[in-house]
Amino acid sequence: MITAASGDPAAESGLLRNLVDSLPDHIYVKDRDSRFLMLNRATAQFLGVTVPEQIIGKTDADFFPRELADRFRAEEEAVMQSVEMLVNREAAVPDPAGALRWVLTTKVPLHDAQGAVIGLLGVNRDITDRKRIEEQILKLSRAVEQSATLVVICTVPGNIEYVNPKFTEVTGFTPEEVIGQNVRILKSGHTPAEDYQQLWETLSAGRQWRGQFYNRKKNGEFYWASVNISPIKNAAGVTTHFVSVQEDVTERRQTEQRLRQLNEDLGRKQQELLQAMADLKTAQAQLIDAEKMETVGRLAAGVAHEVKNPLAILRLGVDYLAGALGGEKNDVTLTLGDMAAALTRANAVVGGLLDLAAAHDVSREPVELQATLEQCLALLYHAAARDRIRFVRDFTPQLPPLQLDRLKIEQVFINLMLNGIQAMPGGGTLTVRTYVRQLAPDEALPEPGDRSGARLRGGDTVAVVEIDDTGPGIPEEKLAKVFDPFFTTKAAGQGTGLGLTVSRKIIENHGGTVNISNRAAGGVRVTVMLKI
Amino acid sequence: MPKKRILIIDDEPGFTRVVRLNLEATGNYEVREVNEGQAALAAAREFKPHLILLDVVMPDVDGGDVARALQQDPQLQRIPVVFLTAVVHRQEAGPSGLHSGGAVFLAKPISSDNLIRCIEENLTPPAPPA
Repeated sequence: MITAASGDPAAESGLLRNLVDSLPDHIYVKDRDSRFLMLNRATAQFLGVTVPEQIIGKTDADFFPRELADRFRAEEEAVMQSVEMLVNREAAVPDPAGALRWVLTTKVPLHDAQGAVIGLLGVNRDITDRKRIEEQILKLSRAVEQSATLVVICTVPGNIEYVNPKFTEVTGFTPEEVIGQNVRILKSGHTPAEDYQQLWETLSAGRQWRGQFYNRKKNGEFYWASVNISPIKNAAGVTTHFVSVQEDVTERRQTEQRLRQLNEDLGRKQQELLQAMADLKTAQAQLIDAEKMETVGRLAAGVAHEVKNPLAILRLGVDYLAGALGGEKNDVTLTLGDMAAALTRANAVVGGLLDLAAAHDVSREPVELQATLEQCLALLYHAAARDRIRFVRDFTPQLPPLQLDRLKIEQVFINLMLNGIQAMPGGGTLTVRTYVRQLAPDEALPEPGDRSGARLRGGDTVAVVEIDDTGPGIPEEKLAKVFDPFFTTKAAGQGTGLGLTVSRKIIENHGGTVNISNRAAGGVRVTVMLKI
Repeated sequence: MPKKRILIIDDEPGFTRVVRLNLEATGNYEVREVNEGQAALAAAREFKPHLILLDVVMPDVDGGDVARALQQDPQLQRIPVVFLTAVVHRQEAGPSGLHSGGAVFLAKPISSDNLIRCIEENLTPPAPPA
């Protein structure tokens, strides 16, 4: 128990002794020759001795390596001769176990009543722990200083307190130029306000924020920064600062951009390649078809010759017999009439085969489509008038001349118009319409008859010819077959079944399409599209 | 009216006969049949036809060769020639024949009426240039 000094010297001395022993600092008194006169418990402990009295009369040479002890002795001599003061000097000193400890030392001379130096008072403080923390801080500081990332520390309102050298290297701003400034000097004006809003909301909630900023450099250039901002909290958990760690990702972004670009280019190239392959396949198929058609053509010509010669004999033979029997109508002459009609039909079929074989042989010249259509209508005028069929023309004046095989195209339109006329034996209207339009990129085109002929593609500009009749239409189940060879909806003896087959073949060999559909208003619409 | 002499040259006897029968039945023609191209020239010189019906495709001599030989003979070159062919398509030839390079082509098979019309149209040779 501590009581106020009562004037009893023994009691006072005992109290002081207790006080000094309870201090963590090493306190000791040495005589003129640096021998320990007095020391507290902390000093004894540091020297590795439990009983302080055992140290009295000993010197540093008894505890420390010779060299160190000599240095201590020299400095103490200097202190006692008042040559040099020794206040708060830091020194690394080995402890009894040999581990170095950092010690802060103050040594002052002691005088007697006459002023003569009789020794010294020493106070050592063990600062090893503080030293370690200092070193740690130094290490951290160097890490930040030498970091390859940009580091900015700012106060909560955003005033910059610290920037590292990398920041200066990237942005051009020196610490002197930015410390005390608000972080908004880095704004490029390209980052949306919502991003900043979200950033401050995140940080205000004490959380870390990550994102990318497009920041401004001192020279007005911009850089892309991948940013990680964290709040720095004090011991009480209150945010005092923010630390922003940024990485200049401009190059990475450019590389990414380039990569993306390359990737897109690659994708495009691949598309082109696929297209080229598809074209190649089509070309190959066309070649095969062309070769096939040549074979068919030769065959058809041969067959035609071999069939037409006997037909010629039969035809003239029938005519001769009919003539020989006179104009009388009896079973024999009627039979001869049927035979003549059958011969005509057989000949038409052979002719159709020849047409089919010749369809691939397209010799192009500039053709005015409207004039051609007029010519076809003129040729069909009598056939139409006989059935009281009216022609309606709905021509666009904007059709440019097309590169077509004039005779074959005429053959096609006569064929298509004749079909329309034959579908209206009780009279009606045949409308022929032309217009120009551009195909939609993904427009579905009629199924081609075979692989030959160039194809129309989405985006192509086409001349369209529509031929509408007001007949009964074609039953839906038969619509799909109208282009098949020898399929006919006409009465027996009325058609060869080759007309539409040949027509489609010719149109497709011109790179066009032909489609037949029933109109909502009734009747049939034939749509021919030819590339302009 | 004197009968017109028609020479028909075709390798198929069945065809030449039926042509002859049809033409003779009109009472207007005298017809001579020849079934070998090689014999055509001699027959023409001897028969002196007003018109020659000439098959294009024959096994021995081509109709074109016969026509050229006729052209080169001063006595025969003015005789009109109508080619008969199974290769030309009727749509191309039309009912009264296809006129190609001054020659007339008739597509087989042909009806009796059309044959006669075609012969009549071609019987009168064009007037020689003055």
